[in-house]
This record gives sequence, C-alpha cells and structure tokens, in this order.
Amino acid sequence: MNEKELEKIKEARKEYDERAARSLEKVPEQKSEYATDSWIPVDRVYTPADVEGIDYLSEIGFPGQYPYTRGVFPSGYRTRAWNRRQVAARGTADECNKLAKYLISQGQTAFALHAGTFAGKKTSWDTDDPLYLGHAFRHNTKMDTLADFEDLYDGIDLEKFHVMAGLFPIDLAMFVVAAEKRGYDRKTLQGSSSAQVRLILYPENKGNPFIDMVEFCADEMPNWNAFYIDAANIRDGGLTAVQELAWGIAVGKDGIREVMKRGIEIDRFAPRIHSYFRVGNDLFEEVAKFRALRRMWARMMKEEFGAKDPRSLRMRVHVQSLGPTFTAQQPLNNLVRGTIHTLAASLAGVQSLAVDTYDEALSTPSDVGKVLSLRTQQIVEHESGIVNVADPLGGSYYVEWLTNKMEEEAQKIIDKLEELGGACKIKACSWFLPQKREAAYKRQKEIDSKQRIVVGVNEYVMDEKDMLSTFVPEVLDFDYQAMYRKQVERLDKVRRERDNAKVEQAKKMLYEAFKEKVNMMPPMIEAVKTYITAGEIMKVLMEARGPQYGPRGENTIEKEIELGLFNFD
Amino acid sequence: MEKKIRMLLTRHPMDGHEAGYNILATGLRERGIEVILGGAQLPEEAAETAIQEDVDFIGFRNMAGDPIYLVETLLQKLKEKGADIPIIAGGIIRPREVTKLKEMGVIEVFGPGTSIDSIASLMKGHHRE
Repeated sequence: MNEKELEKIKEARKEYDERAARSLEKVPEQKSEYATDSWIPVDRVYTPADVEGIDYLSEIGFPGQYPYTRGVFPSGYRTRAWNRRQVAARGTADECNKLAKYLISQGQTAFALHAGTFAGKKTSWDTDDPLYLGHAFRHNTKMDTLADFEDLYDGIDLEKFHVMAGLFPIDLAMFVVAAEKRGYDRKTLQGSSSAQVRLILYPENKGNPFIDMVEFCADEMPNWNAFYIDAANIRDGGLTAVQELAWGIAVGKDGIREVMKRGIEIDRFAPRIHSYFRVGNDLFEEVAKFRALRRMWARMMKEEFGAKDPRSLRMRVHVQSLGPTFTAQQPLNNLVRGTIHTLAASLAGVQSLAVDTYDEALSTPSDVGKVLSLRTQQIVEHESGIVNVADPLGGSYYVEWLTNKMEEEAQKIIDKLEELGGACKIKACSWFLPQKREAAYKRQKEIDSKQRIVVGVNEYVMDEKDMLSTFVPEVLDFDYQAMYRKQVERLDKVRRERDNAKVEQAKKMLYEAFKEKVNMMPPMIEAVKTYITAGEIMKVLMEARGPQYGPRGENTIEKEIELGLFNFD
Repeated sequence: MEKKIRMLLTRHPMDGHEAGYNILATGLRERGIEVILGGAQLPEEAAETAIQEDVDFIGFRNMAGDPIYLVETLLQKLKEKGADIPIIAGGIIRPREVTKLKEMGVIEVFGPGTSIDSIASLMKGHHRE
C-alpha cells in the first residue's frame, strides 16, 4: 500500500471515529473499556493504518519459512493435521494401557499419559510410600519399575504414536529399555520428556539430570524431544496469555544457555526443542500469541544463538485447554468452550492438541468426556474447512496488530527476567511467579463484580435442581484404592522375583556414576534392566549427591515451593 | 479489638494446579482473615502446622486426590494430637463425597465458582458461635 492510500485511510478513519462518537451519544457501547483477556486495550476496529509498519516478507512471510509467523510447515495442515493428544491416565499401568488403546480406537493420534514415576513432582518414591495414599491412581498412573513401563506401552506402536510421558530421566531410561526389549531402535523412538524445571532445582551444570538427558538424546535419540518448555502449567495458576508467552520464551532462552554451557552446540539439540502452552477463550488473542511465539523464537534462535539448522528455528507447540475456563456449573457448556479452544489452536497452526473434558470440573474425566473431546477435534478438522489454508487469520488487520502487540508486551517481561539473571533462576522466579496470583485474583474480582461474564456462573445461572436435571455428567466411579493395592502387590512381586544380587550391583554402579557426575542416562539405562525401582534409584542419587537431589529433599528451593512461591506441576 | 480469624490453607503434594488456592488466599486476606499458606502437605504435616500455628480453621483444597481418605487422615492426626479444629473443604469434590465429608464433620464444602464472600462469611459466622 502506498503512502497516498494510507493517508486516505487515515482521513477516512477520522471521519469514521467522529460518526461513531455521534451515534454513541444516542446508543452507548455496553462497556466503558474493551480489552483482551490479558487486559490489552483494543480499539473498535482495525485498518491498514494500524499495521502500516509491517514488512510482509521479513515479519510475516510464508508458512514453513523464516520467521515462521504463519506456521512451521510449508503446507500447514494439508500434509498432516495436528496430533489429537487427549490426556489420559488412571489406575495401574495395565489399566492405563487399556484406556490408551480405547482412545486409539476412537482416533487419538498421540499420547499425553499422566503416568510415570513422578520424580518431576518431587515425589519419586515407590508406591508403598504413604505419600501416594489417597492420591495415586485416581487420575494418574504411578509406576515403579521397568515392568510397569512394559505394561503401559504393551501393544502400542511406538513408531507410529508420539508419546509424551515421564518427567524425569529415570522414566526415559525405563521407557527406552521397555521399547528396546520389544525390538525398537532408540533412534526411531519419538516422543517428549518434560524436565525443564530441573534446571532450577539443580543449579549445578555438571551432573544436572536435565542437561544429561538433553545431551544423551542429542546423540542417541534424534527423534526425542528432550528439551521441553512448559509454559502451560503456570498459566493455569492465573497468568495471562502475554505472561505465558513471555515465560515460555524466557525459560527456553535461559535453558538453552545452560545446555550450551556444557559445550553442546546449539544445532545439536535445538531441533528437538518443543513447548507446551494453554489455549483459552479469547480466540484472537490466542491465535496472535502462537504467531508471536513462532516469530520471536525463530529470531532469537537465529540472531542470538546463531542456530543454522532450520529445524532449530521452528517452535513446535503442544496445546491444551486452559482448565480454569471450564465451569462446574452447567458442565455441558464446556463442550462449547472446548470447541472455541479447538478453533483457536487450529487457526493458530499448533502441532498437537488436548481439549479438556466437559466434566473435569466435577470429577476425574469420564470416557464419554474424553471421546467428546476427540470428536470436537475431529469435527473441526474434517468439517470446518480450517485445514484447507495455512494461517487463515493472517492478514487480518486486528490479528496482525495484536500479534505485534503481544510480542511487544511479552518482550518487556522477557527483558526484565533477563535483567534478573534469567527465568530459570530464583531471583527472576520470585519476581515473576507471584504475578500469577495477582492476575488470578484480578480476574476473580471481575467475575464477582460481573465485569466479566462467565455463563452459568455469574449470569444465566440455573438453580441446582434445574442444573442437575438438564446437565448431568457421568460421574466416573473408579475404585482407585483397589488399584493402589494392586500396584503395591505388583511392586512386592517384582522385588521378590528379580535377581536382587544384580540390583545391588546396579546400585553400586549407579553410585559411582552419580558421584563422578558422568552423564547419568547410560548407567541408568543399564540399571533399570535389573528392575530396580525408581525410589531405589532416587535414594542412591541422594546418597551420592546430597539431599538436594532428592524429590523431597531439604534444599531451600524445595522450601520455597512449600511456601507457595513455586509450583511446577 | 476482635482477634483475627486464622486459617491454614493446605493441599496435598501430589495435587497441582493452584489458581483456586491462590485466589482464595488473596481474597480471604483482603477480607481480614489471616491465611497461613501450608502449601503442599501430607495430612500429618497439615495437622502439625495447624496446631503449631494455632489456627481457627483448616481449609483443605482438593483437585485430584481422594477427599474422603485425606480428610479422614487429617481428622485422625488432629485427634491423635488432641486438637479439634474445624475443616472446610473445597475444590473438585464429587456430590457423593460432599455428603460423606459433611457426615464426617467437615463444616462446609465449596465447589468451583463459589464466591470468596460466602467462604469468608461462613468462617466469621461460625467463629462467633
């Protein structure tokens, strides 16, 4: 657009604003201020004048091309739609396996199994620890040894289904051995580990389990996403979309620096970096967020870290519904919210999606709920036409303006986190994380005062009797305590039947390796073959390195977590 | 001057996602209640903190755990230590469990969407009795 045309538009805009102002004297707008969900004030309409500074080729460009604003793959969803990856887990590993197979039969294409030894949740003891009483197996699958990993993935094609499970290197070691026993080559295994938080819990570079895992995968498991950025879980704590965007990038940035400090070159591990974000109800803001994320990431990787491999520049994203948007009141309404999330995520061009189940504010998600979430995704994919065209909202004056605005606002937060030493450091965390509390509370106050309408909660409310007669979800009745007892028995059996002399040898071998701080993955892979338990490995690690390496060790960072300053779930 | 109501807000270590927990803590403080953040605690640890901090109420927040088992254990630990502190439960709790919790002596169970005012006024009312 030339300058003359822009001038004309600006002139016309003035006229429009005057007219609008006159008509508002008669019929005012319903609210005095309009803003996105992140409280970014928005105008009533956007024009080419709002995006006049944008250079199309360098800032927007084409799908699959730098800076990847329009998506990471050249053909959008035409070559492949996003992965349908509903979260699933309950009961023991063999029960969870049945659930996984059921979801495959209904069209699930990837897994986010909430199953593992739970080392990432500062709780990696064996199931017979009292910690798990009253909790494990109700909506998660607690595992202890290689035997459980064998059960969990039994009969599932590990080259076809992308697996996301296990937060800690112990889980990856058990997974690799279970897969290799079935004849898979670790080089072809595809999946993700989530262990970003380890950077903070173990400030030391040498011996850092997270960096060990990234290093190991760079050489041995080229299809495994070992470097996983989790911005989603702290968004749940109340952050805005802008804060989530900033945190994701800042954590990635600081994490990359830590990995590179060990002498691992950027293009050796960056192609397998991927991330986990939420998608909320403000569709345009969410689309703008993911577009901004891809552009900011690509630029950072290229300009700051000097990455050359194009795969290092592409930010691939797994996305899940923002849980707090789902209401306990009139739960079927959540199907509509899930549809908005699916639309936003697919319009944003994400790689993988989990839509929360409509009944999850009431109970452990039911099977009906899980299938309906899959169906929501399938309907959007096959019936809405969204997959036909890459980045269909690109070029919208509003969306392009908002993409820039999100980037600008997020950048301010990133700069501050950097100033404080980097997002993985305590100083930056203690400035940033309390903000989720503030944002959550601000939102709650808006709901209380009805500035923000939540259908069925503060408006269009039905009394309980009506609610129950019209919106009854299936409440899952699941005997998780029986599952707990079953797992304790299974663990006993494994301990009895394994060759305990070999386990003792493995412990000695691990102790030496942990003491020397060599990469812990290869010795751990050897050790888990003896059916040593996750709890036993953790104990050896703590003996060799001190309590700060223990899941519930007494280091000060743990204390901070207890105080509520941190939450890494 | 009337003594401030003190409350321990606690949740299980396996229970993540804390938006509700955070909102409640801030909201109750704004309404004049002294909130002690227990954070992630086993029932035994929660009982200990509650006694040490001499609280008037324990707020137990649940998402993915079994509220019956966890509250039962908490009650038992309090009893062992000779304490009788009223418990308020909240979070994701099934209708059948709500009935059971009340039978066990939990003074109220608040589900998602509850206003903070109603929680604060319940405590103030109960406290005066």
